[in-house]
Amino acid sequence: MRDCYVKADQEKFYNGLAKFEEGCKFAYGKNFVELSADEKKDAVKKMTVADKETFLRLKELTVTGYFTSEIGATQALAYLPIPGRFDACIPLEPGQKTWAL
Amino acid sequence: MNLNIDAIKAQTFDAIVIGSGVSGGWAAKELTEKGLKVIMIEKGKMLEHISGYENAMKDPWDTMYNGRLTVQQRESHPKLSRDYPYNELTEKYWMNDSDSLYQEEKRFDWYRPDIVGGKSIMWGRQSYRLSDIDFEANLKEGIAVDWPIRYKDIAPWYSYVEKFAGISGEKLNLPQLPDSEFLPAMPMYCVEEHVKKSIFDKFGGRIMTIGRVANLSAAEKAQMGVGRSQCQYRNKCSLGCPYGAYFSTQSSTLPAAMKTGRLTLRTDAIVKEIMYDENKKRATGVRIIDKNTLEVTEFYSKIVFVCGSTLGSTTVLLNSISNRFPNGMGNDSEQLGHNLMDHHFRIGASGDWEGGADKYYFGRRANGIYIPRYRNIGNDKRDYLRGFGYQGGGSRKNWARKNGDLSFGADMKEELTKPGEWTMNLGGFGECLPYYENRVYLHKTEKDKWGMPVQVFDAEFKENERKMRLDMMNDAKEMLEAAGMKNVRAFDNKSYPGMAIHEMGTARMGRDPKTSVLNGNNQIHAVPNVFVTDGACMTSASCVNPSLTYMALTARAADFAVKELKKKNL
Ligand SMILES: Cc1cc2nc3c(=O)[nH]c(=O)nc-3n(C[C@H](O)[C@H](O)[C@H](O)COP(=O)(O)OP(=O)(O)OC[C@H]3O[C@@H](n4cnc5c(N)ncnc54)[C@H](O)[C@@H]3O)c2cc1C
Ligand code: SF4
Repeated sequence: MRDCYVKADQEKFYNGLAKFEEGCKFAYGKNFVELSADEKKDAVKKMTVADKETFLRLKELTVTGYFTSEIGATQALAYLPIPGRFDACIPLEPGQKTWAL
Repeated sequence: MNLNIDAIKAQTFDAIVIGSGVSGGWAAKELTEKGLKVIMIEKGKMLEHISGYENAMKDPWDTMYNGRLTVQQRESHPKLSRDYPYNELTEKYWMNDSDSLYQEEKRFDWYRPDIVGGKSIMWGRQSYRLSDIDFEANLKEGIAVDWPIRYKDIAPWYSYVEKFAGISGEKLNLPQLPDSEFLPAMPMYCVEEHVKKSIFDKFGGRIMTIGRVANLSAAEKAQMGVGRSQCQYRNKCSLGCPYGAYFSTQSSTLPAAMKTGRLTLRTDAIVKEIMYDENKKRATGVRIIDKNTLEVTEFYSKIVFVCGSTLGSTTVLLNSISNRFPNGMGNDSEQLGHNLMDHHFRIGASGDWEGGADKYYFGRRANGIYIPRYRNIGNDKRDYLRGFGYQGGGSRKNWARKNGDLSFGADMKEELTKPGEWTMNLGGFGECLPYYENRVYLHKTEKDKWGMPVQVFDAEFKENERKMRLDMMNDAKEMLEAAGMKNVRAFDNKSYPGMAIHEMGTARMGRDPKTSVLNGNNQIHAVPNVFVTDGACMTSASCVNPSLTYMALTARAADFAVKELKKKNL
């Protein structure tokens, strides 16, 4: 965020997050990280309506960050750095995960 | 005195090759293998094969920004950051915008490499032959000048370079897209097979084939001989291939030339000009500027191969001023710098496919599909000249597919670990006509930090290209819709000259010295010991990716040059 987005976008995003935190404090009397799983879900759900822009940016960054991290790429996805061969059309086996790369 | 003679001897070669990219690499290989002592002069820095490809083996989490550009990079590189080839992982391969001070009367996106190997490291490797439909077009239509060669002149040289470079593809026997000497073709995804069949059935036998690509789908003796091995299907080619599995100077032509023991490679050296001897009516060598010390040195040779990439080569020629050539070497015709061409692209359509949900793939194919030109061929007649081909391909959507919607949470995360639906994309590459007005010239006073005059671009796509683009977009949409694709989205992301990095023309070949710079052997008409064999020589652009043609023309010119040397004609 800090390096790849222009100042205006950064500020918008950080302001959005700050507002979101305030909202959590107001509604639950706690910071977002201290909320229970259900409360968190609820809070994010409200955000999709209240501040769609910040939500989408947050989601994009989270999803990208996760699936390009070592744990995301190698555990949540199918990670294969050197395939060695190419098959264009094979049956999709049950449980097959998306290729990480 | 003796010292001087020794020094001159050390600076004297049979041949000088300017540039070490696709064309220069071939010139060095051919000339050294034919027994000449050669110096290849490259302005970029050394990039060692394999060990130099620092980012090739990195995982996404090993990089800072997953390949993205930072704001700082976008600010320091206002021109390079206009498109994808410049990114976090390839940064080192490109010349900095702060050093590359070219000017734009009209927008021109110029991607200048700064490494040994030139753009042969970053290129897309799509490799197609021109046909007589291309070579005859100017003459038949009364456009510009006639090519001085025909397909039969270059065909054996295509074969020759293909056997060494290694081109994977499918034989089709099409008049507009002659077959290469092929390594096994790469297979198509199910969505591609589906679209291919539909296009053939519904558009009167229109062809879609797998891309013809300079990646080793199998390694043969010629390639293993220089240490190359088969493609591992990682699709990270633009970072450099640790397996030498695609054609580049480093993987292919440089080791072959080095093996002869007759090649000297000089890096970090800008060729400033080619020197000319009025009495002998020949070039005598080149003057270089050391990039780091600014020291000027001369090298001497019997022949010079100018392979600095279209615009690099023409810059050197325009900057080679003498009494005989006050407007640039070989510029009697006043055509030098003119007729600048590039392909226009970034237009087409994409769509989603509901079929094939039970099909997947293994490995990452560094190649797509190709739809050869079908417009203005046979009985097809359009309201514009020439035509276009499509590149593109299928894929299954990945974890990024829900970034634009409002879903979140554990279910979404689980869903994203599974392959998404198939999509198909078609992007046109169109021919641009050679217009005299489209040109590059040297600024009269502005110089870069090495004292080289700054280039100025004044080129644009015109009416013929605009009309063609309508077809390029609509045909793509029509083909995908006919194949039953959903959410078909036509796009025109705008194309400016230079963007396709297929810059061509500016020192065209022709039959008449009054209207062209080079003859049918890539020789400057008036300076027969100077050969220009890169894209500068192109008399028209065709719509296919051009580099394979530069390889073939370079090998052909090298063969001619050595024969002429033996006959003492040069
Ligand atoms: C991202 C990308 C994708 C591409 N995809 C394809 C494709 O799929 N198919 C295709 O056919 N083509 C493709 N191209 C184009 C292809 O890379 C070029 O056509 C090809 O590299 C041209 O070869 P060349 O030897 O003429 O120039 P280059 O490879 O650019 O080499 C020229 C060399 O000369 C050096 N030089 C220039 N001036 C001087 C000087 N004055 N003194 C010393 N050295 C000098 C340069 O530094 C450079 O290293 C692609 C290019 C890019 C960047
Ligand atoms: S896809 Fe093949 S050629 Fe490209 S980097 Fe991987 S192994 Fe090399």
